[in-house]
Amino acid sequence: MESRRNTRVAATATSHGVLPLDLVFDVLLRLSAKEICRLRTVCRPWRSLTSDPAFIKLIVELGGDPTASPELHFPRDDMHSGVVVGGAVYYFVVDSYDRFEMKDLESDSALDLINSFDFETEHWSTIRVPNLEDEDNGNHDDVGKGAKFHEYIDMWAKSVLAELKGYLVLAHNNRRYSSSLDLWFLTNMENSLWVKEYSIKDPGPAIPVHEEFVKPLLLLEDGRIVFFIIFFEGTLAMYDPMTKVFSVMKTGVREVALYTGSLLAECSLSIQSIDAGV
Amino acid sequence: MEVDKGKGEAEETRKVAEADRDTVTLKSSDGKLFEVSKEAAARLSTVLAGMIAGGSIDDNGTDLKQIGSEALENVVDYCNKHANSIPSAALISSSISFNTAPFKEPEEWERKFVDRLSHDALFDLVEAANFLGMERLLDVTCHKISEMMKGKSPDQIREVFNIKNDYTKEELEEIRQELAWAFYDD
Repeated sequence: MESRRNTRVAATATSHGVLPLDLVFDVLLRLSAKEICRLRTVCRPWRSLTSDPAFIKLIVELGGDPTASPELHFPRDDMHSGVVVGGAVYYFVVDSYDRFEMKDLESDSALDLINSFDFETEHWSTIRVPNLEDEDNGNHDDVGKGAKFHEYIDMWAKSVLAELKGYLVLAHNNRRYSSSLDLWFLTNMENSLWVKEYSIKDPGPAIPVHEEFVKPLLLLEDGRIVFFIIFFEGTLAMYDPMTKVFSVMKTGVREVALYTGSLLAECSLSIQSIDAGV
Repeated sequence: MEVDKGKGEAEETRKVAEADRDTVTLKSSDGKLFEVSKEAAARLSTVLAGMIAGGSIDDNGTDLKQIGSEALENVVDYCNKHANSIPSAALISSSISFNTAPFKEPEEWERKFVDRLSHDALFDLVEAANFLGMERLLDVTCHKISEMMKGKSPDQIREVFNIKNDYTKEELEEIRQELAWAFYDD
């Protein structure tokens, strides 16, 4: 704080009702990041002042920007392609039905449907989707290879990859057999070990049965989960595991952006641009 | 924490300056004289503390050419009021929880002190506080000004703060779109 005093310039006898810029600096430090961003449109000097890395650093130190986070983030693409988790990108190997081939399905294992690329080690790997056998408790033992194959295709078609709390999550709107919205967390990458942390039975009208893309966006500290559903023009919904209720937060959401850096530093904005398909 | 430091400086300056008087006389840019408690001045203003310690205090009125009489009167008034006030529990506790409340909340009397000021008087006072290195008064005045900014539109801010809009219409529209999220109500 002492260093701020050193930026002092010689004061004039009277301010004439105009605040010198070094004092504007002191005043703006007391405002929220959102307020400061609005004030960027006041005039050029205020904008350059509040875009100054030194100013942003002080704001973050002073706690004026609650969203500030030192994490490194990678840009995310839309729902269909992939997600970045802990320095690696994950995406579905196939991007359309006709790319599937029967021979991909080994007798006992699930399909290797997810590719990953680690940015640091530059290492590629393949990950199996969760095993449907586990999920259905063997109820479909008698189904033929072809039927099983189609189940995996169905899983792929109704699933979205997401990141929650640093885990790769496969969100499967599994309404065909079990009428549930399942969230699988990848707990061990080498063995493709998935754990179904959430199985939300009969999610209700907020989640349409045939909706292909139900993307979990955020797992809040209190356990509630924010979802984005590309339904009509896009819906943001909140699931509360305590009450087991989905509530619609906002409809008509075309795009969703997740702020993961400082509100003031535009460069650290991580945009998750999701087209609601209108 | 700063209060302690201020006290230390004040005691130091008592030893250094042999002057018997316990007040100092300050002279505004327009030649008016004001008396202020030496102890309070040294405790609240790093600049005055330095002048007292350095013996550059003029008994006939120390020239403060940068500060007008109205602002100086407020500065002196603040010092004298501060000298009489005992730091409240709230002030002490807020200085402990530094992480959650980085700036100390003004005390009730400080709030009233700045609330009665006109815009121009407030701006002159914040400059005087800045010039004299009065951390606490600067906190109080900046807090007041930040309160004045809250919830105001950029247009209102320009009016209140006498700022010329130096953006072109197109630039403004561009920035507004860039920062659209900041203009939504919570």
